[in-house]
Amino acid sequence: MQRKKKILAGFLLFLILMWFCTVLSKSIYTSELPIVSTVAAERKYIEHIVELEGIVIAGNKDPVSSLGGLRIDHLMVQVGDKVEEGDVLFTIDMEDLDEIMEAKQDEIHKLQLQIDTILQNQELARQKKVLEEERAREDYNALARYQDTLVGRAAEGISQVEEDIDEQDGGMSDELRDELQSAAYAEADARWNRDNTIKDAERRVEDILLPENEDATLDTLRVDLSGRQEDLSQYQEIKKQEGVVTARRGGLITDIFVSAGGRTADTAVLLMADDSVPCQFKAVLGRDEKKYVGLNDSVTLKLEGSGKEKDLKVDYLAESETMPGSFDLYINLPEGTGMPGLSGVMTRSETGERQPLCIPPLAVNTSETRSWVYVVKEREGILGMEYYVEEVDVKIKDRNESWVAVEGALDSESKILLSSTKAVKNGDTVRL
Amino acid sequence: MNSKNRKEGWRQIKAAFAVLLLLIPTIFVILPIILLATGSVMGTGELREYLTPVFGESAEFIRWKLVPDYPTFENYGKLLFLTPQFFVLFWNSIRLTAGILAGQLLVGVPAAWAFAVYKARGSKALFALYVVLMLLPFQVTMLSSYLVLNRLELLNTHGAVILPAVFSTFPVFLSYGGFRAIPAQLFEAARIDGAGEFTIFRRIGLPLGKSGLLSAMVLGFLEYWNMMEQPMAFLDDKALWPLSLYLPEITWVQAGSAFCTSIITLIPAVFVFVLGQDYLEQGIIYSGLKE
Repeated sequence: MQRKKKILAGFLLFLILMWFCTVLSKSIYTSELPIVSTVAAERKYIEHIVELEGIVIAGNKDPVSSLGGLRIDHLMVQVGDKVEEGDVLFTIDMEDLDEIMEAKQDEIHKLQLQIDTILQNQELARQKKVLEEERAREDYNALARYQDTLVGRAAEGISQVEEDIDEQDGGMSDELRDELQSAAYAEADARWNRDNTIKDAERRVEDILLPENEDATLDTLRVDLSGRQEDLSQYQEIKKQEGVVTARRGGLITDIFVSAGGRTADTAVLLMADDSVPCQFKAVLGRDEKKYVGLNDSVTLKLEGSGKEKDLKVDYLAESETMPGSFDLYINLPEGTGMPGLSGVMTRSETGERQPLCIPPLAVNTSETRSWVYVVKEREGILGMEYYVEEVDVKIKDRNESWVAVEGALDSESKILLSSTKAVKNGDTVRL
Repeated sequence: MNSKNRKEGWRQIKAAFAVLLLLIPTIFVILPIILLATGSVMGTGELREYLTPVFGESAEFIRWKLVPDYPTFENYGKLLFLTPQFFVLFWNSIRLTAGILAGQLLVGVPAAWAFAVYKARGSKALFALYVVLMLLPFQVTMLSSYLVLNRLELLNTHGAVILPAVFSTFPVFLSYGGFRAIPAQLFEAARIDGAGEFTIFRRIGLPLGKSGLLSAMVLGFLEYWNMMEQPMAFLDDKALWPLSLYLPEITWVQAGSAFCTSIITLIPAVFVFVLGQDYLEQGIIYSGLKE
């Protein structure tokens, strides 16, 4: 009986242990469950507000340039300075200018000497050619006379043989016939020699009269000389102004490309905003934002330090050359509004269609290929009725920062998971 | 003296041989228990290695180690502290078994007392009918039970399992044997002494027939603790299922949990068996007695 009591006590102890484990495992299980919050889809208008920060830029920029290679002695302005007509912008180092001018004059002198030498050489060549021509003509004439004489002599030989034949009676002897033939051959050879010799002499004269090869050296040197003389005159002009460069008109300094002590380049030394042209507001638009902002769209603009918003329109919108994929947006500001360098915020609001299923962006999960939401549903399990999450694929129709309009197997009653204390996956049991 | 010693030696050899002969089937009988016990303390990796021939496509025989290489109580920890589902079903089993046994005590025992003590016309035939009903397997009565329970709107409740089992004929049959073993003269003497029928039942019937009663309870517990068909047929909600239906819910990946569940499921049955072992033998004797 005692043994049975012990067994019974052991059984009771086992049941108590099981009860304890029941409570413990249930508490661990529930504490491990992700606690989720849900939202219901709402009907909403999706409003797209595009806010862009930008900057006011000059409507037009005037370059202020100087001769390249000059050393800046003093830079009298800096970016953002407003200058009036005649204000000193920068000064040139005069000592350096003198050295440059001296070097320039040396170069001019050298070029002049080269040109003079070329001209003298050309004159000598011309005289030499005239002399050669005269000589060739003399040779020609002498040869012509001599060859004519030879031809005359040969003709005279024939005449002599003919006379001998006429003097004989009773026909021509064989001897005279041979003499006549030889004389005729000699006369023909003399004529051929004369023609060839005269032709050679003529060609020599023609060769001398042929023009010389073209040579651009002289012209090049003259152009160089002219350029250097022009530079020198500009240096002289700067020297006359004692190296001071002033503003031709009033404006705002927007860019400076050199510093004191540096040398000027061939490009502008600095850029000045033109006061007479109104400023522009410039902003960069992303591809997503581009969907809601178009050319000539109405926008509101609030500039830094200005309490009032202005209603303006987009005057220029085109893909950026420096940043492909983004767009440069320009708004022409009314005259007297803003100054270069001021920042501002452009706002554009556009309301789309009324969407039947709108949920917060936090509730939407996206990957490269699909978008989905988790819907909290109830199911009967071993532990009784429990909540679990089910993945529902959705198509995003529209979205803004606060709402996403979706399309999918959802209705306004669906409990869409908004947040969870742990990462969840399809089919996971959760707590509300 | 020598002859006596020789006889004693032979007797010892015979006894040792008999023990050896019985030990072999005993080993086969307890082998599943050993497999359960060792499997429940094996890690997942070790279990996967040993169970691959069972769940994989391999044609190899299963290998098993009596002492795991890396014994762990992780499976018990998971089951006891991280699996509340197990306890829902455990307490469902307790609830169902306790409800059935309590109902059988209330209904079956008085019925058995009536059959054993009071002689009425047709009582024997009725008892014979009871015995026939006892022989019917569950599958035969399932449809009619289902229709009745549906009409009573008890389907998918614990009542659907408890109520038909309360009116089971098997405890009546066993208790009847216990009550029949009490001499009728005792009842006559009690009546002469002025005892009422309920007093006779309470003071004489129950104490003297408790062997039959308790054997019915022990056998009932073992049967209903392991029942599967009734809950499967009448209970849809998993939350109402008993522990016996939990094992098929465990996938082979959780083989360690399955072993632990089996071990823990075994414990109440062992307790009840040890408690009622004596009565169980008595009950089996009663069930074999002729009228």
